Amino acid sequence: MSKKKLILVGRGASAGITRGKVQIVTSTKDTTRFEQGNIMVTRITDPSMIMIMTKASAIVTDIGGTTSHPSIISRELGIPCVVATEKATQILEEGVYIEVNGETGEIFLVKEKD
Amino acid sequence: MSLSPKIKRELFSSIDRTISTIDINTWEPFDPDSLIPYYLEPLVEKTIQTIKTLQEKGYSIRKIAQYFAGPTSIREEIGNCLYYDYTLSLPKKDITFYIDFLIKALSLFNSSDPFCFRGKNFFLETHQLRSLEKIRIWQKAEPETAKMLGKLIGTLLALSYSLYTDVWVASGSEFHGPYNLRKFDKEILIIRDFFDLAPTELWPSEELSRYKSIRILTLYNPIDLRFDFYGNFETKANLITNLKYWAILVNDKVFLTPQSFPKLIDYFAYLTSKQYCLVKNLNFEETKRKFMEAHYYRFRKLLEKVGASLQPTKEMYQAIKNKKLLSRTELNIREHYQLAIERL
Repeated sequence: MSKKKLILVGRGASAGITRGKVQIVTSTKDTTRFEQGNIMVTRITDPSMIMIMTKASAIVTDIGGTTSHPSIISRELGIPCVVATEKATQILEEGVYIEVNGETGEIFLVKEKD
Repeated sequence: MSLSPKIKRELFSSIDRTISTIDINTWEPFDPDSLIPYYLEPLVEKTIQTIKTLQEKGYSIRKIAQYFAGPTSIREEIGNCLYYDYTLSLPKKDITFYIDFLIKALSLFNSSDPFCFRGKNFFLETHQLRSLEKIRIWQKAEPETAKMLGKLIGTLLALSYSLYTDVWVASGSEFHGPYNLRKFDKEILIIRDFFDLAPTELWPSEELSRYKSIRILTLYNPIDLRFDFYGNFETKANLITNLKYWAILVNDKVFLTPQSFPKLIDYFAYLTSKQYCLVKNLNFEETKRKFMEAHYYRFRKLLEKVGASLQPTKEMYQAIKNKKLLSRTELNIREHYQLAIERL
Protein backbone atom coordinates (compact mmCIF):
# COMPACT_ATOMS: atom_id res chain seq x y z
CA MET A 1 0.00 0.00 0.00
CA SER A 2 1.18 3.54 -0.72
CA LYS A 3 1.64 6.20 1.95
CA LYS A 4 -1.65 7.06 3.61
CA LYS A 5 -3.16 10.54 3.43
CA LEU A 6 -5.62 12.09 5.90
CA ILE A 7 -8.75 13.01 3.95
CA LEU A 8 -11.56 13.30 6.46
CA VAL A 9 -12.17 13.65 10.19
CA GLY A 10 -15.34 12.86 12.09
CA ARG A 11 -16.17 11.70 15.55
CA GLY A 12 -14.76 8.37 16.71
CA ALA A 13 -17.68 6.25 17.91
CA SER A 14 -16.36 2.70 18.07
CA ALA A 15 -12.66 2.13 18.63
CA GLY A 16 -10.36 0.10 16.40
CA ILE A 17 -8.43 0.60 13.18
CA THR A 18 -9.21 -1.16 9.94
CA ARG A 19 -8.50 -0.85 6.24
CA GLY A 20 -10.82 -1.75 3.41
CA LYS A 21 -12.66 -0.82 0.24
CA VAL A 22 -15.36 1.87 0.32
CA GLN A 23 -18.88 0.97 -0.64
CA ILE A 24 -21.50 3.73 -0.59
CA VAL A 25 -24.87 2.63 0.80
CA THR A 26 -28.01 4.68 0.17
CA SER A 27 -30.72 2.22 1.15
CA THR A 28 -31.52 -1.35 2.03
CA LYS A 29 -31.56 -2.07 -1.73
CA ASP A 30 -27.77 -2.19 -1.50
CA THR A 31 -27.89 -5.28 0.72
CA THR A 32 -27.20 -7.89 -1.95
CA ARG A 33 -24.44 -5.98 -3.73
CA PHE A 34 -22.60 -5.11 -0.50
CA GLU A 35 -19.48 -7.26 -0.23
CA GLN A 36 -18.39 -8.86 3.02
CA GLY A 37 -15.50 -6.93 4.62
CA ASN A 38 -16.02 -3.65 2.74
CA ILE A 39 -16.36 -0.33 4.55
CA MET A 40 -19.93 0.94 4.68
CA VAL A 41 -20.22 4.67 3.93
CA THR A 42 -23.66 6.20 4.29
CA ARG A 43 -25.43 9.39 5.35
CA ILE A 44 -26.90 7.57 8.35
CA THR A 45 -27.91 3.97 8.97
CA ASP A 46 -31.47 2.83 9.57
CA PRO A 47 -32.74 -0.45 11.08
CA SER A 48 -33.34 -2.07 7.69
CA MET A 49 -29.61 -1.81 6.90
CA ILE A 50 -28.68 -4.23 9.65
CA MET A 51 -27.58 -7.01 7.28
CA ILE A 52 -25.19 -4.63 5.55
CA MET A 53 -23.81 -3.50 8.90
CA THR A 54 -23.11 -7.08 9.94
CA LYS A 55 -21.08 -7.60 6.73
CA ALA A 56 -19.07 -4.37 7.03
CA SER A 57 -15.56 -4.14 8.47
CA ALA A 58 -16.18 -0.49 9.49
CA ILE A 59 -18.91 2.13 9.24
CA VAL A 60 -18.55 5.81 8.31
CA THR A 61 -21.49 8.23 8.34
CA ASP A 62 -22.15 11.87 7.46
CA ILE A 63 -24.19 12.58 10.61
CA GLY A 64 -24.69 10.97 14.02
CA GLY A 65 -23.54 11.09 17.61
CA THR A 66 -21.77 8.54 19.75
CA THR A 67 -25.12 7.12 20.87
CA SER A 68 -26.75 7.04 17.42
CA HIS A 69 -27.59 3.67 15.76
CA PRO A 70 -24.37 3.22 13.80
CA SER A 71 -22.31 3.93 16.91
CA ILE A 72 -24.19 1.61 19.24
CA ILE A 73 -24.41 -1.23 16.74
CA SER A 74 -20.75 -0.93 15.67
CA ARG A 75 -19.63 -1.28 19.26
CA GLU A 76 -21.72 -4.43 19.57
CA LEU A 77 -20.21 -5.76 16.35
CA GLY A 78 -16.69 -4.87 17.48
CA ILE A 79 -15.94 -2.86 14.32
CA PRO A 80 -14.61 0.73 14.02
CA CYS A 81 -17.10 3.51 13.40
CA VAL A 82 -16.72 7.21 12.63
CA VAL A 83 -19.80 9.45 12.64
CA ALA A 84 -20.44 13.15 11.97
CA THR A 85 -17.94 13.46 9.10
CA GLU A 86 -20.47 15.78 7.41
CA LYS A 87 -19.38 14.81 3.90
CA ALA A 88 -18.13 11.20 3.79
CA THR A 89 -20.65 10.26 1.11
CA GLN A 90 -19.44 13.16 -1.04
CA ILE A 91 -15.70 12.84 -0.49
CA LEU A 92 -15.21 9.08 -0.40
CA GLU A 93 -15.49 7.53 -3.79
CA GLU A 94 -16.79 4.00 -4.13
CA GLY A 95 -13.93 1.55 -4.65
CA VAL A 96 -11.12 3.53 -3.00
CA TYR A 97 -9.26 1.97 -0.08
CA ILE A 98 -9.31 3.79 3.23
CA GLU A 99 -8.14 3.35 6.80
CA VAL A 100 -10.70 4.11 9.51
CA ASN A 101 -9.59 5.01 13.01
CA GLY A 102 -12.64 4.61 15.23
CA GLU A 103 -10.99 6.26 18.20
CA THR A 104 -9.61 9.47 16.72
CA GLY A 105 -12.25 9.75 14.00
CA GLU A 106 -9.58 10.05 11.30
CA ILE A 107 -10.03 8.58 7.83
CA PHE A 108 -7.02 8.10 5.55
CA LEU A 109 -6.85 7.36 1.85
CA VAL A 110 -4.50 4.40 1.44
CA LYS A 111 -5.07 3.39 -2.17
CA GLU A 112 -6.98 4.66 -5.20
CA LYS A 113 -9.49 2.47 -7.02
CA ASP A 114 -8.23 -0.82 -8.58
CA MET B 1 -39.38 18.64 47.09
CA SER B 2 -35.96 19.95 47.81
CA LEU B 3 -33.05 18.12 46.27
CA SER B 4 -29.62 18.46 47.76
CA PRO B 5 -27.08 20.47 45.74
CA LYS B 6 -25.11 17.24 45.22
CA ILE B 7 -28.10 15.41 43.72
CA LYS B 8 -28.90 18.40 41.50
CA ARG B 9 -25.30 18.56 40.34
CA GLU B 10 -25.23 14.85 39.51
CA LEU B 11 -28.58 15.04 37.70
CA PHE B 12 -27.44 17.96 35.58
CA SER B 13 -23.97 16.55 34.86
CA SER B 14 -25.41 13.24 33.80
CA ILE B 15 -27.95 14.85 31.44
CA ASP B 16 -25.31 17.23 30.11
CA ARG B 17 -22.87 14.41 29.34
CA THR B 18 -25.60 12.47 27.56
CA ILE B 19 -26.73 15.43 25.44
CA SER B 20 -23.23 15.69 24.01
CA THR B 21 -23.51 12.17 22.56
CA ILE B 22 -26.74 12.83 20.66
CA ASP B 23 -27.30 14.09 17.14
CA ILE B 24 -30.96 15.09 16.92
CA ASN B 25 -30.83 15.01 13.12
CA THR B 26 -30.64 11.22 13.18
CA TRP B 27 -33.85 10.60 15.11
CA GLU B 28 -36.64 8.73 13.36
CA PRO B 29 -39.45 9.24 12.68
CA PHE B 30 -38.79 12.83 13.81
CA ASP B 31 -37.23 15.06 16.40
CA PRO B 32 -39.16 14.47 19.67
CA ASP B 33 -39.32 18.24 20.15
CA SER B 34 -41.73 18.41 17.26
CA LEU B 35 -44.47 16.32 18.87
CA ILE B 36 -44.02 15.74 22.62
CA PRO B 37 -45.06 19.30 23.59
CA TYR B 38 -48.53 18.63 22.16
CA TYR B 39 -49.37 15.62 24.30
CA LEU B 40 -47.09 15.66 27.35
CA GLU B 41 -49.53 17.39 29.69
CA PRO B 42 -52.40 14.85 29.35
CA LEU B 43 -49.84 12.04 29.56
CA VAL B 44 -48.30 13.35 32.78
CA GLU B 45 -51.77 13.98 34.19
CA LYS B 46 -52.84 10.41 33.46
CA THR B 47 -49.64 8.95 34.93
CA ILE B 48 -49.94 11.00 38.13
CA GLN B 49 -53.55 9.88 38.47
CA THR B 50 -52.52 6.23 38.00
CA ILE B 51 -49.71 6.45 40.58
CA LYS B 52 -52.02 8.11 43.12
CA THR B 53 -54.69 5.45 42.57
CA LEU B 54 -52.15 2.70 43.23
CA GLN B 55 -50.85 4.47 46.33
CA GLU B 56 -54.40 4.78 47.66
CA LYS B 57 -54.71 1.02 47.19
CA GLY B 58 -51.66 0.59 49.41
CA TYR B 59 -48.97 -0.06 46.81
CA SER B 60 -45.49 1.04 47.92
CA ILE B 61 -43.14 3.13 45.76
CA ARG B 62 -40.98 0.00 45.38
CA LYS B 63 -43.90 -1.98 44.01
CA ILE B 64 -45.05 0.79 41.67
CA ALA B 65 -41.48 1.33 40.43
CA GLN B 66 -41.44 -2.28 39.22
CA TYR B 67 -44.36 -1.52 36.93
CA PHE B 68 -42.30 0.98 34.94
CA ALA B 69 -40.55 -0.50 31.90
CA GLY B 70 -37.13 0.07 33.50
CA PRO B 71 -34.85 2.69 35.06
CA THR B 72 -34.13 4.30 31.68
CA SER B 73 -37.84 4.91 31.10
CA ILE B 74 -38.05 6.60 34.50
CA ARG B 75 -35.05 8.81 33.76
CA GLU B 76 -36.51 9.72 30.36
CA GLU B 77 -39.75 10.82 32.03
CA ILE B 78 -37.76 12.99 34.45
CA GLY B 79 -35.95 14.46 31.44
CA ASN B 80 -39.26 15.13 29.65
CA CYS B 81 -40.76 16.92 32.66
CA LEU B 82 -37.66 19.07 33.03
CA TYR B 83 -37.08 19.89 29.39
CA TYR B 84 -40.71 20.41 28.37
CA ASP B 85 -41.75 22.13 31.60
CA TYR B 86 -42.89 25.13 29.56
CA THR B 87 -45.69 22.97 28.10
CA LEU B 88 -47.07 21.89 31.49
CA SER B 89 -49.76 24.02 33.06
CA LEU B 90 -50.59 21.49 35.76
CA PRO B 91 -50.41 22.71 39.38
CA LYS B 92 -46.80 22.91 40.51
CA LYS B 93 -47.52 20.59 43.44
CA ASP B 94 -48.56 17.84 41.00
CA ILE B 95 -45.41 18.13 38.91
CA THR B 96 -43.33 18.23 42.07
CA PHE B 97 -45.10 15.10 43.33
CA TYR B 98 -44.41 13.32 40.03
CA ILE B 99 -40.71 14.18 39.76
CA ASP B 100 -40.21 13.41 43.43
CA PHE B 101 -41.88 10.02 42.94
CA LEU B 102 -39.75 9.24 39.87
CA ILE B 103 -36.50 10.11 41.66
CA LYS B 104 -37.46 7.97 44.66
CA ALA B 105 -38.37 5.10 42.33
CA LEU B 106 -35.02 5.40 40.56
CA SER B 107 -33.17 5.40 43.85
CA LEU B 108 -34.72 2.04 44.66
CA PHE B 109 -32.93 0.53 41.64
CA ASN B 110 -29.65 2.20 42.47
CA SER B 111 -29.42 4.44 45.50
CA SER B 112 -25.79 5.40 44.90
CA ASP B 113 -26.11 6.30 41.22
CA PRO B 114 -29.74 6.87 40.18
CA PHE B 115 -28.85 9.15 37.24
CA CYS B 116 -25.90 7.07 35.95
CA PHE B 117 -23.57 9.90 36.95
CA ARG B 118 -20.95 7.27 37.83
CA GLY B 119 -21.78 5.21 34.76
CA LYS B 120 -23.82 2.48 36.45
CA ASN B 121 -27.31 1.52 35.36
CA PHE B 122 -28.67 -1.01 37.84
CA PHE B 123 -31.94 -2.84 37.34
CA LEU B 124 -31.54 -6.08 39.30
CA GLU B 125 -31.58 -6.60 43.03
CA THR B 126 -28.92 -8.65 44.81
CA HIS B 127 -31.04 -11.80 45.07
CA GLN B 128 -31.75 -11.67 41.34
CA LEU B 129 -28.04 -11.40 40.63
CA ARG B 130 -27.31 -14.34 42.90
CA SER B 131 -29.52 -16.56 40.79
CA LEU B 132 -27.36 -15.75 37.77
CA GLU B 133 -24.26 -17.10 39.43
CA LYS B 134 -25.07 -20.71 38.63
CA ILE B 135 -21.99 -21.69 36.73
CA ARG B 136 -23.80 -24.20 34.50
CA ILE B 137 -25.62 -21.50 32.55
CA TRP B 138 -22.40 -19.80 31.42
CA GLN B 139 -20.67 -20.67 28.18
CA LYS B 140 -17.08 -19.79 27.47
CA ALA B 141 -16.78 -17.31 24.62
CA GLU B 142 -14.90 -18.53 21.55
CA PRO B 143 -13.84 -15.85 19.01
CA GLU B 144 -16.34 -16.91 16.35
CA THR B 145 -19.17 -17.21 18.87
CA ALA B 146 -18.39 -13.75 20.24
CA LYS B 147 -18.70 -12.29 16.73
CA MET B 148 -22.00 -14.04 16.12
CA LEU B 149 -23.30 -12.89 19.48
CA GLY B 150 -22.43 -9.30 18.51
CA LYS B 151 -24.43 -9.74 15.30
CA LEU B 152 -27.36 -11.17 17.21
CA ILE B 153 -27.37 -8.18 19.59
CA GLY B 154 -27.11 -5.82 16.59
CA THR B 155 -30.15 -7.36 14.89
CA LEU B 156 -32.17 -7.30 18.11
CA LEU B 157 -31.33 -3.62 18.54
CA ALA B 158 -32.40 -2.90 14.97
CA LEU B 159 -35.67 -4.72 15.56
CA SER B 160 -36.24 -2.70 18.75
CA TYR B 161 -35.69 0.59 16.89
CA SER B 162 -38.22 -0.45 14.27
CA LEU B 163 -40.81 -1.48 16.89
CA TYR B 164 -40.47 1.46 19.27
CA THR B 165 -38.90 4.28 17.19
CA ASP B 166 -35.44 5.63 18.00
CA VAL B 167 -36.83 7.74 20.81
CA TRP B 168 -38.81 5.19 22.86
CA VAL B 169 -36.66 2.10 22.53
CA ALA B 170 -36.52 1.85 26.34
CA SER B 171 -40.23 0.94 26.24
CA GLY B 172 -39.12 -2.56 25.20
CA SER B 173 -35.50 -3.00 26.24
CA GLU B 174 -32.98 -2.08 28.92
CA PHE B 175 -29.22 -2.56 28.96
CA HIS B 176 -27.86 -2.60 32.48
CA GLY B 177 -24.77 -3.13 34.60
CA PRO B 178 -21.86 -3.30 35.13
CA TYR B 179 -22.49 -5.79 37.92
CA ASN B 180 -20.05 -7.93 39.82
CA LEU B 181 -20.84 -11.57 40.48
CA ARG B 182 -19.21 -13.38 43.39
CA LYS B 183 -18.18 -16.36 41.29
CA PHE B 184 -16.48 -14.16 38.71
CA ASP B 185 -14.38 -11.80 40.73
CA LYS B 186 -12.55 -10.18 37.80
CA GLU B 187 -15.18 -10.02 35.10
CA ILE B 188 -17.98 -7.47 34.82
CA LEU B 189 -21.53 -8.42 33.89
CA ILE B 190 -23.55 -6.48 31.33
CA ILE B 191 -27.14 -7.51 30.69
CA ARG B 192 -29.08 -6.70 27.56
CA ASP B 193 -32.75 -7.19 28.27
CA PHE B 194 -35.05 -7.21 25.27
CA PHE B 195 -38.10 -7.70 27.46
CA ASP B 196 -40.80 -7.07 24.89
CA LEU B 197 -40.01 -8.09 21.33
CA ALA B 198 -43.64 -8.74 20.49
CA PRO B 199 -45.69 -5.68 21.50
CA THR B 200 -48.92 -6.83 19.88
CA GLU B 201 -50.91 -4.03 21.55
CA LEU B 202 -48.72 -1.60 19.63
CA TRP B 203 -48.43 -3.57 16.39
CA PRO B 204 -51.35 -5.97 16.08
CA SER B 205 -49.82 -8.80 14.08
CA GLU B 206 -49.50 -12.52 14.34
CA GLU B 207 -46.13 -12.39 12.68
CA LEU B 208 -44.26 -10.55 15.40
CA SER B 209 -41.40 -12.35 17.07
CA ARG B 210 -42.15 -15.73 18.58
CA TYR B 211 -39.57 -14.74 21.17
CA LYS B 212 -41.35 -12.41 23.58
CA SER B 213 -38.25 -11.75 25.67
CA ILE B 214 -34.53 -12.35 25.31
CA ARG B 215 -32.02 -11.66 28.06
CA ILE B 216 -28.39 -11.68 26.96
CA LEU B 217 -25.86 -12.02 29.77
CA THR B 218 -22.26 -11.19 28.98
CA LEU B 219 -19.19 -11.30 31.20
CA TYR B 220 -16.29 -9.17 30.02
CA ASN B 221 -12.73 -8.62 31.11
CA PRO B 222 -12.63 -5.66 33.55
CA ILE B 223 -13.02 -3.02 30.83
CA ASP B 224 -13.93 0.63 31.34
CA LEU B 225 -17.60 0.94 30.37
CA ARG B 226 -20.03 3.70 31.35
CA PHE B 227 -23.78 3.98 31.04
CA ASP B 228 -25.42 7.34 30.46
CA PHE B 229 -28.68 8.98 31.53
CA TYR B 230 -30.57 7.40 28.63
CA GLY B 231 -29.26 3.90 29.30
CA ASN B 232 -26.74 3.71 26.47
CA PHE B 233 -23.25 2.61 27.30
CA GLU B 234 -19.96 3.65 25.77
CA THR B 235 -16.59 1.97 25.92
CA LYS B 236 -13.33 2.15 24.01
CA ALA B 237 -12.74 -1.54 24.58
CA ASN B 238 -13.61 -4.14 21.97
CA LEU B 239 -16.71 -6.02 23.12
CA ILE B 240 -15.90 -9.04 20.96
CA THR B 241 -12.32 -9.69 22.04
CA ASN B 242 -13.04 -8.90 25.69
CA LEU B 243 -16.00 -11.25 26.02
CA LYS B 244 -15.21 -14.12 28.39
CA TYR B 245 -18.53 -15.88 29.08
CA TRP B 246 -22.10 -15.57 27.89
CA ALA B 247 -25.56 -16.99 28.45
CA ILE B 248 -28.92 -16.30 26.81
CA LEU B 249 -32.30 -16.72 28.41
CA VAL B 250 -35.27 -16.82 26.10
CA ASN B 251 -38.72 -16.30 27.58
CA ASP B 252 -37.01 -16.69 30.99
CA LYS B 253 -35.58 -20.12 30.21
CA VAL B 254 -31.97 -20.94 29.51
CA PHE B 255 -31.63 -21.59 25.86
CA LEU B 256 -29.54 -21.13 22.77
CA THR B 257 -26.43 -22.78 21.54
CA PRO B 258 -24.03 -21.03 19.18
CA GLN B 259 -25.30 -23.26 16.36
CA SER B 260 -28.67 -21.52 16.51
CA PHE B 261 -27.21 -18.01 16.06
CA PRO B 262 -27.06 -17.79 12.24
CA LYS B 263 -30.73 -18.73 11.82
CA LEU B 264 -31.78 -16.35 14.58
CA ILE B 265 -29.80 -13.48 13.08
CA ASP B 266 -31.51 -14.04 9.72
CA TYR B 267 -34.89 -14.34 11.41
CA PHE B 268 -34.56 -11.08 13.37
CA ALA B 269 -33.12 -9.26 10.35
CA TYR B 270 -36.12 -10.42 8.31
CA LEU B 271 -38.54 -9.23 11.02
CA THR B 272 -36.72 -5.89 11.23
CA SER B 273 -36.90 -5.32 7.52
CA LYS B 274 -40.61 -6.17 7.44
CA GLN B 275 -41.35 -4.03 10.51
CA TYR B 276 -39.38 -1.06 9.20
CA CYS B 277 -41.29 -1.28 5.93
CA LEU B 278 -44.55 -1.10 7.91
CA VAL B 279 -43.29 2.00 9.71
CA LYS B 280 -42.25 3.72 6.50
CA ASN B 281 -45.65 3.01 4.93
CA LEU B 282 -47.59 4.81 7.67
CA ASN B 283 -49.06 8.13 6.63
CA PHE B 284 -48.25 11.30 8.56
CA GLU B 285 -51.20 11.11 10.99
CA GLU B 286 -50.53 7.41 11.64
CA THR B 287 -46.84 8.06 12.24
CA LYS B 288 -47.61 10.71 14.86
CA ARG B 289 -50.07 8.39 16.60
CA LYS B 290 -47.60 5.47 16.56
CA PHE B 291 -44.85 7.64 18.03
CA MET B 292 -47.12 8.67 20.91
CA GLU B 293 -48.40 5.12 21.41
CA ALA B 294 -44.81 3.78 21.61
CA HIS B 295 -44.18 6.35 24.34
CA TYR B 296 -47.35 5.51 26.24
CA TYR B 297 -46.68 1.76 25.94
CA ARG B 298 -43.97 2.00 28.61
CA PHE B 299 -46.70 2.61 31.21
CA ARG B 300 -48.55 -0.58 30.24
CA LYS B 301 -47.96 -2.45 33.50
CA LEU B 302 -49.01 0.56 35.57
CA LEU B 303 -52.14 0.99 33.47
CA GLU B 304 -53.00 -2.70 33.66
CA LYS B 305 -52.83 -2.53 37.46
CA VAL B 306 -55.61 0.05 37.56
CA GLY B 307 -57.57 -1.60 34.76
CA ALA B 308 -57.01 1.28 32.34
CA SER B 309 -56.71 1.00 28.56
CA LEU B 310 -53.23 0.67 27.08
CA GLN B 311 -54.22 3.12 24.39
CA PRO B 312 -53.40 6.79 24.99
CA THR B 313 -56.29 8.90 26.26
CA LYS B 314 -58.73 10.73 23.98
CA GLU B 315 -57.16 14.01 25.10
CA MET B 316 -53.75 12.81 23.92
CA TYR B 317 -55.03 11.76 20.50
CA GLN B 318 -56.93 15.01 20.19
CA ALA B 319 -53.81 16.98 21.09
CA ILE B 320 -51.88 15.72 18.05
CA LYS B 321 -54.68 15.34 15.53
CA ASN B 322 -54.12 17.36 12.33
CA LYS B 323 -51.22 19.19 13.97
CA LYS B 324 -48.08 20.13 12.06
CA LEU B 325 -44.74 19.16 13.52
CA LEU B 326 -43.35 21.93 15.70
CA SER B 327 -40.06 23.57 14.86
CA ARG B 328 -37.25 22.94 17.30
CA THR B 329 -37.45 25.45 20.11
CA GLU B 330 -34.86 28.15 20.37
CA LEU B 331 -34.02 27.00 23.87
CA ASN B 332 -30.42 26.50 24.80
CA ILE B 333 -30.78 22.84 25.78
CA ARG B 334 -28.00 22.81 28.33
CA GLU B 335 -29.06 26.06 29.98
CA HIS B 336 -32.70 25.05 30.01
CA TYR B 337 -32.02 21.80 31.84
CA GLN B 338 -29.80 23.62 34.30
CA LEU B 339 -32.51 26.16 35.15
CA ALA B 340 -35.23 23.52 35.39
CA ILE B 341 -33.11 21.47 37.81
CA GLU B 342 -32.32 24.56 39.88
CA ARG B 343 -36.04 25.16 40.31
CA LEU B 344 -36.59 21.68 41.80
